[in-house]
Amino acid sequence: MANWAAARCCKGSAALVGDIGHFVEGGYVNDDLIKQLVPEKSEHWELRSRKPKPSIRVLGRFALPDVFVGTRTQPRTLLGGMWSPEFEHEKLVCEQHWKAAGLPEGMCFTDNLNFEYEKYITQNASRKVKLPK
Amino acid sequence: MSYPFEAAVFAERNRNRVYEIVVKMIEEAARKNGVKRKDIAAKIGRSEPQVSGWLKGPSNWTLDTVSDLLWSIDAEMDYEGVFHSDRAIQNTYNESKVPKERARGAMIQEISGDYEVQVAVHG
Repeated sequence: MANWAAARCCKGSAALVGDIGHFVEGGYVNDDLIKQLVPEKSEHWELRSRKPKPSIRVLGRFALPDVFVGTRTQPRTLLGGMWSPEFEHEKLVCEQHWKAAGLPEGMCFTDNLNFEYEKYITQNASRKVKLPK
Repeated sequence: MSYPFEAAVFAERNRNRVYEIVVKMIEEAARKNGVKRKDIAAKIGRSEPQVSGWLKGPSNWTLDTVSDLLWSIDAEMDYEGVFHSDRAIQNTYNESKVPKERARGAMIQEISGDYEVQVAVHG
């Protein structure tokens, strides 16, 4: 269960609530805060609260533009590396929670083959900071 | 004595707000004056990867980071303190004050079913 605000026990969960609050307030967002996982066609996203360590991840999906549905919160340390069994399992858990909550299976507002960050978060967002090297 | 949960929430919120201001100023400097990453790195005597790391996200920022990045583009913060009580709408974090029925701006909302998911609406 992704009860983001429930664990009022440590600074890490407070930082996560602060990060979600920033998102909800319409603050500037890039993929340091919320990122689509690969492969993009699976529509898995993670909201990342990096400090303090261990960092925390909220896996979820977008139900509509700007509407992020978090399915489960996990410390990053439990997820292993990219493509690890733990991480892949978490994606399946995300899908299970998504389905059980009766949320739509297909994303009608995006084109999976042409991923664009701004289609998911429509205002005050860019995947990367726009600064030439 | 333990660090209050609400204080930690507010600190993270502040960190994200400062990051937004600085990043937007840097993007504006890039648009208007052609500032590049290597220019910023050279001006503050840091490596490009270090600057890239800072620009990626605010998790490692200090007050000096804010100063250095803004100084590199000939800018600075303009500070003004505001008491929450003086704001028309208070910015203090209070879960109980978030009306669940308000979809836009609602922080936490139950959807349905045996599984509970949480919804965050941007903006």
